Amino acid sequence: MNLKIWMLAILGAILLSACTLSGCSKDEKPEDGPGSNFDRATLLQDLSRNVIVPAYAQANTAAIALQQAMEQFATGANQANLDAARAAWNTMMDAWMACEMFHLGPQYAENLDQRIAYSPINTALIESEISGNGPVDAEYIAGTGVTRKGLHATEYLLYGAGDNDPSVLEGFILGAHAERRRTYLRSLSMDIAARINVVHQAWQPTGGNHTATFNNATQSDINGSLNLMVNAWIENIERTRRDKVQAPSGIEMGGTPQPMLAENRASGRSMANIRIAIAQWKRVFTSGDGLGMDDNLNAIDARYQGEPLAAKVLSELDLALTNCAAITLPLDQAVEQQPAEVNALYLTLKRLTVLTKIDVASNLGVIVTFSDNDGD
Amino acid sequence: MLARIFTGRTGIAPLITLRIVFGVLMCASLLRFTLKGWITELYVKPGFHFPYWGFEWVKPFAGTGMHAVFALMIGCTVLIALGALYRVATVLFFLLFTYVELIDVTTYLNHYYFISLVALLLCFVPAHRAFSLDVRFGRVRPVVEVPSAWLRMVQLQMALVYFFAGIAKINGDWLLEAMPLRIWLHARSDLPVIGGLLQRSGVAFAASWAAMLFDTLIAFFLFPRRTAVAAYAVVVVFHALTALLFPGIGMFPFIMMAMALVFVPVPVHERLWTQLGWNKERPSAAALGIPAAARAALIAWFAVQFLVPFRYLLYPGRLFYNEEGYRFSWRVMLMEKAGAVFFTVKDPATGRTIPVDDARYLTELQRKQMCTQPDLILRFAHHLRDEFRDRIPDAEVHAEAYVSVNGHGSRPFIDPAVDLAREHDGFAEKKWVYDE
Repeated sequence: MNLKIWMLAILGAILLSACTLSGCSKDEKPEDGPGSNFDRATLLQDLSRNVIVPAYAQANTAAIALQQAMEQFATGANQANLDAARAAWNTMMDAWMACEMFHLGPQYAENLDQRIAYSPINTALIESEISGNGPVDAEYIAGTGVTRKGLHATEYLLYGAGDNDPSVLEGFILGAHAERRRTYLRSLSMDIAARINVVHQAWQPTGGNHTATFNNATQSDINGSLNLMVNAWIENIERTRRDKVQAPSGIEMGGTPQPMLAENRASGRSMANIRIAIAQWKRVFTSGDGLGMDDNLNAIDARYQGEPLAAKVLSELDLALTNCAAITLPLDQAVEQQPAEVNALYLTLKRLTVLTKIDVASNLGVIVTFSDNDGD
Repeated sequence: MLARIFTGRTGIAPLITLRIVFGVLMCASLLRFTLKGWITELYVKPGFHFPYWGFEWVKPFAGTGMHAVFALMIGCTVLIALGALYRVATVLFFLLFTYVELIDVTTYLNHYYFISLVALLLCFVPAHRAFSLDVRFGRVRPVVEVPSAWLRMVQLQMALVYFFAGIAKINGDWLLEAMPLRIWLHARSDLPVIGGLLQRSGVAFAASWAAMLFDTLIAFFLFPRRTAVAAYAVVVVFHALTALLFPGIGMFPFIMMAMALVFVPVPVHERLWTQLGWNKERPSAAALGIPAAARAALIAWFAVQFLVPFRYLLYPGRLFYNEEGYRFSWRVMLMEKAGAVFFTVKDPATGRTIPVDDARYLTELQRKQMCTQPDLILRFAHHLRDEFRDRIPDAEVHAEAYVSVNGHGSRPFIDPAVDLAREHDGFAEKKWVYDE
């Protein structure tokens, strides 16, 4: 009998503990200390308000300006307008690099990454389109394949394959297909502007209001906004390290530099792309100046080798920016002339991959995979 | 006492429950698996699979073959629930389910292993000898009683799951730091009403201790008839909570809730099935027995079941890092582990090293599982060695791997100097895994 009483007492204790867990003692005062009362809903609101929505607004403005610059160049192909068109394209690229990592929500649904930033493009196909007889208007470009349109195709037309400026400009003025080349360029910008506008509008309250969807998806499963954002963030860090730094540095080829693999080599903005992306990773991590992942990590007292994990991530991000600043040449030249500086950046990005993919994700309780398989 | 288990008799009604519940749950699970597209994602899409050591010959069927396997399994579950062609259906289900589980280690889940074991037991349990189509159509003669051992062994299998899951939780991280529950519960702060509570470390501690006590002790309350019903109620509350808090664990809580019904006293089952039309007025005169050889096999079975979870003691180093002896040990929801691994292939003739992007070979799920489990890292290293054989005949494969356990921070956990291409797979200690 004593044994049964003892057993029932333990059962009661377990039930009581379970009851506590399920919130029976609601009038208990919240304790202070790590992890108490962190508001992930506010984190998402700050992230969307301070970082994501402004990034798309800026991209939308830049895309409109790009379209206008291309119109101007198409009607007046001269060096001044070519310079203006290039400047507008660079501004657009700056804006896109701040959006590239948001591979979720409308951007994911619209497949924006592929449709406006697919690489590598097929230059031979573009030239054959321009020299052919088929339509090259905006409607045609909207429906054509991703290897012959988008920002990288625009770069090819504006800068050539790295040839000198006069030959690029001549292609738009002289020759049998100059007009079709101008039309093609203008159509590219119209398609880019239209597609960015769709995503920009989708985040607006007057449009699809994905901001509300994003802010309300506070759950921790793979469809939760924080999960999607962290996964997209980590994926962008990994891709930047692997495709934008490791590949041209030649590490994959036993140390022989591969300058041809540098992104946007013709325009010489490969380092700008990386720099802007890193700055945006930092803004994503901190939700701009709002409640960010860094605050979430501090709230649970997450640490890395004794120091606060959030501070460690921020210092590595700052170091990556410092590494970028140390590379004074475009990446295709730097891999040959500043290999030590490029390697330093690569190693910092590798550490960031480990920190974000392992430490940040596990401390935030985020599942680093898009596969929704069960676990136990 | 052992002899009494084999010679004693009990009502068959709990086995009817077991048969129907198992069939229905498996049917629902497999349909869910199919509808979520996991057959393609896990067994068709990957170009490379991680086989179990010794089972490298188990390969997925090409084309629609895997879909056919799942369709067959679903058919078996329906037959099991109905008690139609029961023996054929249980054997076929066990073989097919276990075949699917052996294809790729990265799909291993404790409850899949549990299902395989229960399916094997069901091949022998005469759960179709009452309230079944086999009885109705005269394929087998009905009985109202069976040897107690058939019911007890299913109960014991359940008890082992709980007990080992409980003692696995008796470790410093779980009890003294409330890890990983502190991380997991904090991530559920979005839940209405209790979301705020879940951020308190006190709640994480209470939950950790409650879970440990529950798992370790619940079987001792489920076995005695006097406490069985109350204990079953606790089982339901516990698993309902885990289903609410951790939706990612899928069917696991429901399987445990349903299977634990075998502990509910026999009269409850009898009343239920009688009300639903079971007529036990026409029993067979023949008594079911358990042959001596089967008794010996059952004893051996449970001896192995009891020893396997302790095999980790044969390996030095920390279990959470080396995972030697981790699988098949009922270490359920025990740790938060994340990792990253960078592979390089080295040509010893030239000294040239080539970083390899594992994403080009593996699915996201495979990458996630591999980067924290040393034996899978080794297996993938061997795959890379084979892939590069034409270009680099004596290729070395090195892994720079980092892992974090229970939020303790990422740290290297594999010696990057070791050429994994020349390390042997098997049960021997993996000395290239760091202790800490």
